[in-house]
Amino acid sequence: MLRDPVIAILLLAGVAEVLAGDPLVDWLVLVLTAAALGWDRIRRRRPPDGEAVAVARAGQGWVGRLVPARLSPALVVGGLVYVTVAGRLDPFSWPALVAVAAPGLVGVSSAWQARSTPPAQAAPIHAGGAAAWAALFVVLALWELSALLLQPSITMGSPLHPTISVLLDPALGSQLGRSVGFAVWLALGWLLVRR
Amino acid sequence: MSSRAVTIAGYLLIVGCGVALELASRRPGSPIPSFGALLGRVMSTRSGRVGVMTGWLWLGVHFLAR
Repeated sequence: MLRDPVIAILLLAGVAEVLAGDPLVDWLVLVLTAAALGWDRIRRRRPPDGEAVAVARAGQGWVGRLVPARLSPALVVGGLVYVTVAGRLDPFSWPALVAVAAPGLVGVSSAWQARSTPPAQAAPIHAGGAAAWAALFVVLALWELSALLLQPSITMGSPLHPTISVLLDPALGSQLGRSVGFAVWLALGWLLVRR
Repeated sequence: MSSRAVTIAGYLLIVGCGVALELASRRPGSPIPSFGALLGRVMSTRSGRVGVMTGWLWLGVHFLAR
């Protein structure tokens, strides 16, 4: 199961969240997904290469029944209402968590339900070039970790050694900032779900 | 240079390296894939697709729901 790098990365990130003292939901999302993928892998008894999916019809990506294939005016208006309302919700509250969980679970479910096709259809990537990107993300993770460890305590942010969360706190402190944050996050999810 | 400035400079340097990799990927015959191509390859498997979307969900939970 751990031979699948995605499962290993999710578990590692989940353990890091626990050690960093982050809230239960933060690491539960990662660990539960890793467990679900592991269960699915055992159930299928097939190597990960056999799970390549179609980039089906041009422009539609792997969008499933849960997510509309096209950006309609109604969807844009719905998105604007969502980011306006969500930005007004109190941070650290259950309503804010529900506002994230609802579209988030739809996105993850759509990813899970995508149709599978033979691996030959997946575009090849040069291993060395991919390693350069991987190295960049590892460096980012280590830099974030060093900032975290240089804090006065693992759960107390430091202005001298700011993590990304500490740097974003002022921007996400206002209703407008949170609405913009929700809009960027939702747009990113839309772009990913369309791939 | 303060510790804060060094930390932020580190983040900016990493972002700069990411931009440089993206620009390098656009040269003809470059062995470096664009970030979009890399993401597409990762998301060509169920575990990769679900992993990326879970990362997106985690970003929302971590930065917006707390």
